Amino acid sequence: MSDETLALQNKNNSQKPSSKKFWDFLKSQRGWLFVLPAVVLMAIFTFYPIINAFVGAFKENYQALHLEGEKGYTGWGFENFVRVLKGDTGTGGASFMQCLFNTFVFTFISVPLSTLLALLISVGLTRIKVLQKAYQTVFFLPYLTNALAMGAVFATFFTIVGTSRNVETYGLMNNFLSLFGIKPVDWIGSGSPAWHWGSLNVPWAKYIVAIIYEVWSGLPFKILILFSALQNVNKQYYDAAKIDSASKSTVLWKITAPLISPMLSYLLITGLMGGMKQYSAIVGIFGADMGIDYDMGTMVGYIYQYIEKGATGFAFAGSLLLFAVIMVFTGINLIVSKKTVHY
Amino acid sequence: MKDLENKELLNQEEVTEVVEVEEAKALAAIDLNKEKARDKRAKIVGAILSYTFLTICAFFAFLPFYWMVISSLKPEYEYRRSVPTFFPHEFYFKNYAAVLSQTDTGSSGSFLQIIVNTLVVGLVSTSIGLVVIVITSYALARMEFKGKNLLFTLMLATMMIPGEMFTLTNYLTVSKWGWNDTFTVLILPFLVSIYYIYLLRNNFKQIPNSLYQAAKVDGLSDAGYLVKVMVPLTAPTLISVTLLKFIATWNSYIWPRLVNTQSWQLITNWVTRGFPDRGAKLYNGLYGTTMALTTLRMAAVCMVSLPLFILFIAFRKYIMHGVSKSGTKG
Amino acid sequence: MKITIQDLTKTFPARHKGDKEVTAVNMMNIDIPSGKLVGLLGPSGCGKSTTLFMLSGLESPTSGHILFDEEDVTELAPEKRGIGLVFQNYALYPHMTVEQNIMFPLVNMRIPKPEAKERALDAARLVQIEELLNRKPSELSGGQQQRVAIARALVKMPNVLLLDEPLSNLDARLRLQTREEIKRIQRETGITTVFVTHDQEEAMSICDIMVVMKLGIVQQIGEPQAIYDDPENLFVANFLGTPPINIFKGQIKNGGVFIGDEEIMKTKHEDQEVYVGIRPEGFIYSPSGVLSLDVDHIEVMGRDKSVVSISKYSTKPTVRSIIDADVKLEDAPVLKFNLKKNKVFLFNAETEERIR
Repeated sequence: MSDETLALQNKNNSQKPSSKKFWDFLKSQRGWLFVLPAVVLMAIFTFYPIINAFVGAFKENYQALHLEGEKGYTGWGFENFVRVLKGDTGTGGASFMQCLFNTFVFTFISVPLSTLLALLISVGLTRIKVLQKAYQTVFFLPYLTNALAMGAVFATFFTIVGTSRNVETYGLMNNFLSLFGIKPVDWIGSGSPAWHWGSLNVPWAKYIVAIIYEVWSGLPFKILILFSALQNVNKQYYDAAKIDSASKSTVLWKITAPLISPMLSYLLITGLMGGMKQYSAIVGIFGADMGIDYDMGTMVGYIYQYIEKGATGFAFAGSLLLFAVIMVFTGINLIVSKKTVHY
Repeated sequence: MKDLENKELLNQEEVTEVVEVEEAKALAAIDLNKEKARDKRAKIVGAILSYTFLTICAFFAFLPFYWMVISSLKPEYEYRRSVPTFFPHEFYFKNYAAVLSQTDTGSSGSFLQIIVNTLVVGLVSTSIGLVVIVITSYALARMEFKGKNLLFTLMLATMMIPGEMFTLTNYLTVSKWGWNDTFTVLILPFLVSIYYIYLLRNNFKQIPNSLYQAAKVDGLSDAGYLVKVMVPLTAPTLISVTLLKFIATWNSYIWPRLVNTQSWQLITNWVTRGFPDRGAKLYNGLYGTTMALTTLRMAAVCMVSLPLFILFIAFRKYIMHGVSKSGTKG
Repeated sequence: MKITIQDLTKTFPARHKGDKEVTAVNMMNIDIPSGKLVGLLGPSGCGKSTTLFMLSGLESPTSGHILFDEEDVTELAPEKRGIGLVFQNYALYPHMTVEQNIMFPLVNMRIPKPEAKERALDAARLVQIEELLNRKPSELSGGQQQRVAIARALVKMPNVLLLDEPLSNLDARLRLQTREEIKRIQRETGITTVFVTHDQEEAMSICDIMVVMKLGIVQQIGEPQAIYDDPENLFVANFLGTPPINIFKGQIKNGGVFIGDEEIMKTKHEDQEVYVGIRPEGFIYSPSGVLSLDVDHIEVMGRDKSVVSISKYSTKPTVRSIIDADVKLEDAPVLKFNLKKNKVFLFNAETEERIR
């Protein structure tokens, strides 16, 4: 038998009947069987909702849970967005601009603050040996809490109990401040002080409460990340700095911080993005109406308000706006992390 | 003669030079000692500063928990003292009994019933969810099929989108199906956690291929390999995912409030209540039936938080491991 | 168990469009007698590991057959072939103890636990790790992990033992020790063993039969010494031996073999361009020698010494000649050597095949 005929035979051998080929193909695709449950669930609860949000936001006067036989919306257009942004939804309740403003204020103050505090605490943790684990555990505790429950606890710090005529207690915070001669403030009650700025409310006392809560609840995760980042910094850098006789603060700001800058920027960005979605804690502190008539509303609170009111179009428009804001942060993240991160 | 003098002078100079060098050395030694002492002092001061700072921070981090517990143990009238007490004068465990015996006209049952609801929902959704996550991750990590990469990319892309965008449509979907106020509706939409699939897939991918081949030679089937080798090897991640998923159910507020108004209420929704009618009963009408009592609410908050603490103490390592990887809250 | 490999071929499809498909193993034919230790030797990418994996059943051949004794096992799943396989990185299950690792194949075969334990202990004794049974793989040294892997492969009493680069992850000292160990275990058990290596010294030292491969094609099969003494082609001659063989460009003309102007030996072959391979130990120092080399330096090794020299006819940067340490060398820039006939090989310059 010559080599050529042999080769030919081999070729024939490898040619299988088409039904077997099809069977083989099916067999090679059996991975789909494994992902099928996930794919079906995602199709219904993840992929479809994304498309639906983009469609629904443009349906005017959209009420999804309409009666049988009705269309549920009057036409197509940008009206939802216009009315949401103008605050002209005709349903009362939260105004989008107020919610956007509130969210920005809480987030842009609390996130940098808690990141900085977390950095200092993490540095402190790396400098101690005795009880390090114990401190670490205490600092991680607030992570594992129910935002609503802890919001309620924070509210007790600030609540004035009793009627305005007959105050029973001014609460822990006011008692503490009175040690310094500061008069009681109605932090979260109906008499809470506020400034007005155009059509925007600036309930500063409530902001302080919200920010204190957010700093507190944001610390554990940031400490966890920064502490492990600090421990991963090569000790040689510190030795080199010692030889170059750098002071402790120089080491912190000129060596440590840049070296862990990827983590810092990661924490800042995820913190900001997470802050945009703040909701439960505010409900926990200020109640389901988010303060008085949503003066402490957040963007997510805004969306849920309209879901509950059945004004589907506004809720969709609001959720797209929230999405847009978060996308902006994602974009900033991409740009910033390329420029300032030292790796 | 002059030369000699000169020489002597020179000699003397030399001598003084030597002395100076010695002195300088001694001085340097003193300096070094001083430096060392200063270093030591700086170290002690640094340690004191560190501990002070950390202790103050830890105090404030811990204060809410302490306040929550002691408030739940005070009688309401002690809580309402104008100057707050930092330790209960009177331990008032009746708060807990009152909360536990609460039944709500608008809901299916007692506070205890709600806790059971939440436990059942949490356990079922966590266990089924875990199976879905494991098999999906396995297929994405180890199997080849057409469109795998596209599917994976799509999944990753959705991680950028805030969950609130899904919630509304999902609410509409389940409402149209008439699933509101059912057990299923609390579980189904959250079975797939894309982030955890991503995490586990990466974990699976790190397991060397030769282990799979060894298992083949040792006579193990694909499913056997998944159960006997891959799952044990990724156990830390799986435990973390299980805990975080369960905690997420325990803490879920928005979705249960939206879809379940009656029979399948979950625990978090109850925390916002003040248990006014209980309070009125407990204090024999001292407080009105519409008045929310903080001590009762704190007792409820304590009971909601307790399981989380138990989980944390039991699985601290896994939770911190999982959190540092995922960074998603609840 | 006898292994017969017939026309074994494995092609891998092209990774990217436009690439050619890769033939890892090309029409391989080998008969492995029962109870022998066989080494598959070749540089990386020569198809030796693919061959091993096809023997194990983890890869299925594109064409050709594998027979264990008279049975065709080509389509048989790995676990049904009765083979033991030791992986290059050992592939121990990290979450199981040593004992659990060794017992694992038996557990899958549903062998009762007491018996499985007994057999695991026997296997552990054979590789001398019985005191490590309760440890985890991460607590073992590389050499110990290697032994566990071998024990796991042996515990099911395989007909064939396959080892993929068994020594490559060990340090030099352990390598020597382990290679003796493998030889000992193979002798004691009498299991037909095939192992893969790229280290010719390793292969030469323990193989009964050596298979030299290059680019998927078998170059030569035989006992190590026979292959060393009688290489089929330039590649095999070059691949075996440390220090490696010296290769010169030369010619055959008028019945003589020439390197440059010097006739090093007589020959009956036709005139042609050739490569002349001379093993380092094939040089005899002699002031009246046939080959002169420009000495660069001399390395003293104790037992013998190497004359490292330069020749413009050498295909390598230096020529190395090993001579007895007792031989007194002239202190001259050029030294002359006579050659041992059986250490000189001629290869056709084009085909690189041996001219005998």
